[in-house]
Amino acid sequence: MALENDPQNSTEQLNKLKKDFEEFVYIISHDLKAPLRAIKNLSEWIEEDVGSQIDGEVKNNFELLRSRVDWMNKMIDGLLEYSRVCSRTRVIQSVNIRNSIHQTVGELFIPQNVNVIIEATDQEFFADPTQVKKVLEHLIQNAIKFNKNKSPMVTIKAEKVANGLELSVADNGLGINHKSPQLAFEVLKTLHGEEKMYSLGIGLAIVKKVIEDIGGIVKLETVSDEGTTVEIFWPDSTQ
Amino acid sequence: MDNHETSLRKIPMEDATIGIMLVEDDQVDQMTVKRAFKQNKVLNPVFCAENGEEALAMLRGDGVEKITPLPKIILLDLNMPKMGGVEFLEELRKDPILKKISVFVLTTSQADEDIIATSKYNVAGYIVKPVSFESFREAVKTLDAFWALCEFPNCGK
Repeated sequence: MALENDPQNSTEQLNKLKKDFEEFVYIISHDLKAPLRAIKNLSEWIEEDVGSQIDGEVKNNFELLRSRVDWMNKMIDGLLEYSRVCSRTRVIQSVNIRNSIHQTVGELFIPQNVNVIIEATDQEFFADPTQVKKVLEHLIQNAIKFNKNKSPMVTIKAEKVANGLELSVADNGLGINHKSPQLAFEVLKTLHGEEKMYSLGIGLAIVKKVIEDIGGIVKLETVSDEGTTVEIFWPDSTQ
Repeated sequence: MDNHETSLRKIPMEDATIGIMLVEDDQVDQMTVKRAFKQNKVLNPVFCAENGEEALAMLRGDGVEKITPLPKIILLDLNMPKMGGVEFLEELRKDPILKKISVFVLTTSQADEDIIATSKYNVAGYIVKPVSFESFREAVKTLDAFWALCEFPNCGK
């Protein structure tokens, strides 16, 4: 088949496949969202119109219904984000990692009691700044979310090395109490029972996809009830 | 039952029978707009079309009864079968009589593509179709205030 013998053609084919896939996901997510919107609106109207006649349990059921709709919307958005992650054309620039981390942290909502420590060298590496931001966002958000420590702490370290960047985000939170913690990298996989409703299980999948697509490495170390550290080797991009 | 303490308010147009046109193919989205108007005490009639072709026919009296007087505002969904929102806008702006109608685009996402695709057609505003009715109701309130502040060009009644 021509695909294997012609590298140029196979790259084109691959790019087309990626684009087709992204369009497919966009269409599906769009078409899935319309009826969800309808379900949510209709349930609100029913509750409004029935008014005072409904008791606590009925009200509670309505709220559960809406929370499931919200959840499904989140899943669709998450899957859309995941599909876009690598189909979007990368814009490679010189990125100052310290600035990038500070900027990302500045833009995130971080609860008062969380202590964020940043140890990043004032150095540049070559990457798509949007992807850097996205990876940082997901890792930091995870570090905060899965953390019931009385003094929650998130430590972000970054250091330029020979042909790329070493980046790590560590927390002193719940850790992953599961015999196969690496499953956390899978799409829609959540390994925390009670947290399930608040976590899509897509952040790490996105991080992994971004990093592996550029030939980098991402690893996770975790100790139950002590914390989790995600380590990344982010190679300089040339294209 | 409407529990909102909104005082009776009419859109300050010369004639309260002047309507609003809604171009939207989703039944429940149509209901959302009508309900939000009702709860904001917007009394003007709402004319619904399910796609761009039907909307144009209603505005021109083309095979169907013409809307008289012409609506001053069109709420336009972008994703519709037959004739989509962008095509409709293009046709509207070409028409010497219809081109002056204010158009608000209903978009399901804050997608820049939607804004870019429609920006050259002089869109008055964008309303994101949110998942919660409450926020749509708020959007209609803003729309209402916008109308109160604007003067409308003569639509050739």
